Amino acid sequence: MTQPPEFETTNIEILSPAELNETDQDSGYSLFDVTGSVVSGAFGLMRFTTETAVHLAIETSRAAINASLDAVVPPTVNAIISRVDLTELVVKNVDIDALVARASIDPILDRIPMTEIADYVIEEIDLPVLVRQSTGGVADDLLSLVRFQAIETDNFVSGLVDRVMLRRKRRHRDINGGDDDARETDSL
Amino acid sequence: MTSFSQFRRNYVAGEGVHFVSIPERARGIQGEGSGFTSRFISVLFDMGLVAVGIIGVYWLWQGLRYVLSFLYDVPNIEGVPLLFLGYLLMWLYWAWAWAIGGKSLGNQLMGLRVQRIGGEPLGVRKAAVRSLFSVFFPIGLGWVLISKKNRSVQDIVLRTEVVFDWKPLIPREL
Repeated sequence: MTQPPEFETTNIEILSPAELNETDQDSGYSLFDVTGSVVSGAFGLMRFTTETAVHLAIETSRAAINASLDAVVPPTVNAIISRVDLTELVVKNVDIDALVARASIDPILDRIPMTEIADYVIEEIDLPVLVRQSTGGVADDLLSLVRFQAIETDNFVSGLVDRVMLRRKRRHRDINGGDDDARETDSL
Repeated sequence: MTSFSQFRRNYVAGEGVHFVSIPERARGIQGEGSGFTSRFISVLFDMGLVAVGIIGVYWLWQGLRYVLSFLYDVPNIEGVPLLFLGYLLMWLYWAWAWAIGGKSLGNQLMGLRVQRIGGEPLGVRKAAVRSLFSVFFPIGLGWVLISKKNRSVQDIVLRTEVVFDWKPLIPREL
């Protein structure tokens, strides 16, 4: 065992309980202590009250302002907008081309019925007439001419026979219904 | 002029657009019984075709005879056998043409179609019988002039009719 190190010794007075009582003879709460406590408590209470009051006031006024804005703003804005030509405003101030250029075209095109449009265009421009006029035009017209002439001859001949046979209801093929030429020049 | 929205309202998907390539003046008479002149021209045209064919066959045969004359004595076909060949060809041609779509070339020219009364196609047997009838009794066509419903003798006997049909021919399978 090594020697325990030597400490600097200090004298510590150890007091008996009785002595202790003697020394604390005039402790308990001094007036100063009590006043401090009361003041700090009052200060805390004041702070709490103030904070609560301020908070409540803020919330209440916020709600009140919101409610009054809800009540006032829409009619006001309506009243303003109704006096302004928004379209004119937009047309004047907004670069619509730039706006449209930003929009993505694909979803729009997806909603467009392409086939129907194609069919519509084909029908509307009367493609058969165009084809007939451009390519097989001459031959087809000649064919139609021959057929129509035969039909006219038929009408004449059968009309004659019907008349001779004193028929009331005569055979007649009506080929003057539509005006083909007028229609064809119309559509061009 | 229909607007696109009008068009869409009436548009039945998958059905496509119906194009009518028939001139407007002729649209009203489609399906009506045709008269004598149209049918006569049509018959003349078909007969002319067969005649040209027969003349072609005749000259081919003559050429063949000439080539082979050094080796064989090929018989000459003239007169009645040639006429018979013509009848045969006419019969076969009309039977075939009417069976596959009711339109011979002459019929196509004049825009006619041979069909059963009511619109059903002729069928092979009826086409063959009608063709035979027409080949040996062409005079029967004359009844069209008198018949109220533009029927020839063949039509009356076989319950067929010839109507205007200017649509292009779509041949059917036999």
